[in-house]
Amino acid sequence: MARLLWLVAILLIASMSANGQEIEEEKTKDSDKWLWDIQVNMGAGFYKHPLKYVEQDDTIDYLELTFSLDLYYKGFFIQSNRRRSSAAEIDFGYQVFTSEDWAVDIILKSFFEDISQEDLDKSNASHLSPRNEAIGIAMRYTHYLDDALITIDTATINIENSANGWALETFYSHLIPYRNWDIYLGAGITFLSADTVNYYVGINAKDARESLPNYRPGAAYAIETEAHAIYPLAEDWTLRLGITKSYLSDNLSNSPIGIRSNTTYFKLGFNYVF
Amino acid sequence: MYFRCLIPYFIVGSSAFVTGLLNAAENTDVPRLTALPNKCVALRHGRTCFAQITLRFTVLKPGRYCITKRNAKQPLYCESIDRYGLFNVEFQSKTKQAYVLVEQSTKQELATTVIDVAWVHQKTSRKRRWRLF
Repeated sequence: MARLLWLVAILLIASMSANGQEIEEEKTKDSDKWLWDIQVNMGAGFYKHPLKYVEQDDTIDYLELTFSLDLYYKGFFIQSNRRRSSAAEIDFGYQVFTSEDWAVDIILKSFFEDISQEDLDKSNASHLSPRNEAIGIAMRYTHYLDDALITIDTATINIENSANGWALETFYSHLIPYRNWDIYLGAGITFLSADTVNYYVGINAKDARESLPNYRPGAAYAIETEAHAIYPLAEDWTLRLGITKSYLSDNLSNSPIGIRSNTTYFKLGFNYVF
Repeated sequence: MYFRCLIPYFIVGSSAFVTGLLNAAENTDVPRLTALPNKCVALRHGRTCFAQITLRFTVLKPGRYCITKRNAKQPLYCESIDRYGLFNVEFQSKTKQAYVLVEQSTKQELATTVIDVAWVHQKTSRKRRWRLF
């Protein structure tokens, strides 16, 4: 999976350098050439991590500095998730079909973060192996309505030393323009296969301890609701506010690793738009 | 010696310079109309932009004066003033808008100011609200 990501990145960078001149000329045109958009986000984020024992301890844990790059060239793209409160999600992909109303893409996408050794140490589960980031190859169907968007991602997730798992994620986002504000209200649900869930939050018999019993939760789901608002401060600065609430199914939150049944992410930030 | 001789010239010169600056800042010779802020920023091109704008105006003689939008028949606001006036405008427009200071009795236009409309993003199509391409 990592090799595939690198391959897509190298292809994009190679094409970019070969056509650097065109970037300036074509950046605002709706064409089959280069389109790009870069933003820098500076702000603060307050969240409850899905792992119960992982907290925001230091000041730097609250600070956020992210670059979001949107790039398109002849079907290949890198796309940040601007409609969402957290712009950390970056999709690499290829546009299979597009029209004014709908689109089909093949994307590489991260479904959830890794569980590092440090996280496991904090969860008193040091003997468990770290879990890799859940990266999936997904077929995305997008439907555009007047002020709304529906996406359906059907993905196969690469699981280390195991059969691939799968995920189905659907998200509805509704835009409410109010005066100079753009307010996005969204909700979504993600279904995860038993293989995927067992790998990330399950405990194998060989890893079981008295405090961490054998646990095979099976298929699970997560629900997200979100409110996200953007306000223009100047021609190249925007203010962003967002709150995301996630709810996990019982078999996820009952994991002996220590998973919260619901999490909250609140964000306040400023974006510089190049 | 030379310094002593130059000091009076320096004082006179400085005084004239400061007075000139003050006059330039006040510019009391002509009626004035200024807007603060003088630009409204929307998220996307083509979107109506909203802003609270303060219009300050200065006139040369007491009288009744009005603020109107350029090409509008009715004034937004009229007031009897001696010298200075202030008016808050709820700006709503997709394009730049000119405001005019008018002497009510003569209908003479005394001063004009323009509130510009700018935007962060260019693209406006339905799909472009959600993605770059």
